[in-house]
Amino acid sequence: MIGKERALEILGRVISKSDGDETDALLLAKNSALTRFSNSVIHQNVSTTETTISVRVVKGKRIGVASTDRLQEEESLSELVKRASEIADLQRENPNFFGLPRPNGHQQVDAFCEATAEYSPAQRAEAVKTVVEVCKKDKISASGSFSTSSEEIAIVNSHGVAAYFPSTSAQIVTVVMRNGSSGYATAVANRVGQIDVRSVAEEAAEICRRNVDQVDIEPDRYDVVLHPYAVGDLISYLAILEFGALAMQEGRSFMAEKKGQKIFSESLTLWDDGLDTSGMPLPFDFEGVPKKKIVLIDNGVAANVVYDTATARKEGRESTGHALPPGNTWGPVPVNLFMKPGSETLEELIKKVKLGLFVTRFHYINPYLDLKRAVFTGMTRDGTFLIEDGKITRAAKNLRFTQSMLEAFSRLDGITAETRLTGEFINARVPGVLIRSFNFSGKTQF
Amino acid sequence: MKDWLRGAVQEATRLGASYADIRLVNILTETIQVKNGTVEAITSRETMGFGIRVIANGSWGFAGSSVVQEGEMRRVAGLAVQIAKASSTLKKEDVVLAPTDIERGSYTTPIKQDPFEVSLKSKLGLLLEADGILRRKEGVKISEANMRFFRTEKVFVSSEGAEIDQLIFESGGGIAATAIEGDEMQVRSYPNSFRGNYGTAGYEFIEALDLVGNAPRVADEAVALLSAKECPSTTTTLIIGGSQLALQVHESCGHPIELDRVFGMEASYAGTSFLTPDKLNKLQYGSKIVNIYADATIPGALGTFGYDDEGVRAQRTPIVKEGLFVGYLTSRETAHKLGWRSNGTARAHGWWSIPLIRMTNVNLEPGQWDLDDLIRDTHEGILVDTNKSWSIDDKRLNFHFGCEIGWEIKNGQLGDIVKNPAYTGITPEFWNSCDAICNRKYWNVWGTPNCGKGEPGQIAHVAHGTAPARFRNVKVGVRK
Repeated sequence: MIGKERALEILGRVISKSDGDETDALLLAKNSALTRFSNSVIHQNVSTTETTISVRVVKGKRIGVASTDRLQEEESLSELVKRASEIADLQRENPNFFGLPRPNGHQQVDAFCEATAEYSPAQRAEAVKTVVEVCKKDKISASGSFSTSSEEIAIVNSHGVAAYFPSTSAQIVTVVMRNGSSGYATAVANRVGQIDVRSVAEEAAEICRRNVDQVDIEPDRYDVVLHPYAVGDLISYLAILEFGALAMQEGRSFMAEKKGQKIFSESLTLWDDGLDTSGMPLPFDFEGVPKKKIVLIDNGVAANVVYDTATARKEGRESTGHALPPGNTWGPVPVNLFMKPGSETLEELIKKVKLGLFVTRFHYINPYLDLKRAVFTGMTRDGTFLIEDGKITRAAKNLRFTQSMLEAFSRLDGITAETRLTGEFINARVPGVLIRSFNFSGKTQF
Repeated sequence: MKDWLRGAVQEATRLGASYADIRLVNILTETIQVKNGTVEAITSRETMGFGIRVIANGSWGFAGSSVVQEGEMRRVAGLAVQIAKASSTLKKEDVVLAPTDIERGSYTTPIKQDPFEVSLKSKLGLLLEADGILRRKEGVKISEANMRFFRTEKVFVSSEGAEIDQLIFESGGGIAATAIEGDEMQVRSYPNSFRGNYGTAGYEFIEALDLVGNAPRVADEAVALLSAKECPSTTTTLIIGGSQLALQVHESCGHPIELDRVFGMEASYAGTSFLTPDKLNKLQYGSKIVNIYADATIPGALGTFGYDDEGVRAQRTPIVKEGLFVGYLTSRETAHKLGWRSNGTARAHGWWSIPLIRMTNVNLEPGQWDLDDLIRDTHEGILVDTNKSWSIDDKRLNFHFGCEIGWEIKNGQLGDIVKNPAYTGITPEFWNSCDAICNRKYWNVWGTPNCGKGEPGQIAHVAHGTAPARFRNVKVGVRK
């Protein structure tokens, strides 16, 4: 750990070397470890310590960005600032840049856990053994990963912004398999003690046990009950690609035409909240701007997008605290997603389906077919089941879906009360849902 | 510095490692992105660190650090051994590495012009000119041009006595025009989508792309697509252009031949492979004209290097011969399981990551056809090119690709442009339907600088040599 005082002191020293009109510096330090297992043995086991400093030097509207992880010598830091400054000198003016943010204080969030930061290789191996033991009694083979990390983010700018946030995270992902059957489960938390490894293993093994003798289903439109894992995948892509201000301002997102319109089912409410500790909180963005809670979809209305400083000032507004690190051209994105739960259970949603499918998770979603209609394609994976007359009757072979999310989320007909924090892509706390007439366009052989 | 590396390897073996290697890696990256006449970003990133990989008690351990100091190397060596010993508490058998030649050599990418020596002014001038031409076309709402350069210096030292120095240069770039009208949006890119084409080369690679010369066509096509008719939903004959076919090879051949994936080592992430060892030398993967090989020695190709990150020399390996599936990409660990020697494809993203089996240049050999003759020979069908979307199942069987542009083929002639072309299929059925491949004149190596794999996620730079090819009875137009 570098610690708050030292991190801010290093960054203060970095920006003091700048000859720019404005300067900011970002420090990202991470100790990460991951134990990976397949065929019920540990086959990869890694640990990495890294610290990176990025500096952005601004001269008028000309910006230069440089980064390095060579922090041992003072001259490396001087060289870093010099490089960014030289780039700014050679730059053209960026008319979309309106200055770095001013200090605005951020809320403190406790997301750091000493036990997680200190979690040892032996402890991770013990956790993996638990998964393997749960699976072993049914001759199920376990694969997956168990990771723990500690991270520090610090930002200082020449207007007085000085922000520091330490956090830890732990995540288990497992895919378990037996004779052509498979199951999946995952859990993520800031504190390793909040992860119930045995429960995750049992969930995956239970799906695997039920996912046998899969029947061939013809591609067609089916009512689908989606487990929160599957919902998290769809919602994450939808939010990242469609609910950022730059995507809207450039016309790449449907929000350019549809902001303020009711385009989804009334039961759909989605927001971004970097302060909610039931997610994986991050109290400020990579410019040091405090994160605001932003409702993206409000009772079916496409309500708001998230902003960074540049996109906000272009519209004469305040940043919502959703900037990515300097140098990116993506613009702001929401990364702490929450979908409003309903009142039903997955079993109750299944009961509402005469003929349909239950999907545990999706695989290899690609969202680029048609951004303006949010047409995604992808496969089902690790537990697809046929629903007949309100009951799961058989396991089904995997299917490909090709579906507009605008249409899909306008056909919501049930939402579970229980939510899960899904986190393989970005963190989204979401419920399970029932969507009517979901389009499956192809099938595979398993 | 090499003494430090040798010392770290010795420290690992002193602590009980039966094998140890260390990679010291320094990567310098420069990225320049221009959008709508504005220089959106010029970034310079340098990352330097080392990774130590060991086998202790028969299991793997790896640790890396960006603190390049002798004491830190010894600490990290100890941590790697500690991790390996933890791994060994859950093993069925010891890791055994296939034998390899102990290399003591060096490799440097042959380049004509160091891209880091070319002035920013010159690079910006080129990008802004191309970007300006794109924007001159009415209907183009977003114009983009970019370049990216990598300079990677690697030193590899192993407990077996290998000592290898490599210096690899990579250059690439491209342009894209986005036309938007209401809720209709269409993109055309050159020379490829998702930031262009890349090679292990110097700045001469950028100059040869002729971004400026291609900009007017790219802009015209983007706008024309707005009013083009939708690709029909049907089953028809498909001619796939080179850059799209490169991604087809990547997803449906390159990934499933990774032997670690075949053995289940990637099961929990992107999945496994249908190309299990029982199919080796038995499965008719494609038609008789389909020949695929992996070759890490093609001059200038993005997947070219001197040695992989296990110290194995770069090689050429047959994968599919006259349609028959005959080979895998291997590492030392996985090759041993088949009683083979490694064919040198284990590569790591950076100092912070372990080597995984990665594609090198996985290529479809050219055929006999001239493209014009191939179109003339096609009574009815669609020609598609430039990838827009990609997706494949977790055994690499069912794939779905969207392309930027398509053209109808009627009575042997190219007809109207169609928008949103997409096609889908099952890998072996698809490759067995290939009945014509264009000749070497049309063969180009397409760099893919963003191939993802592994946990924690790693990015590899790989490539695919392809020429346009024809496939029969393909389901197209499957967009909604």
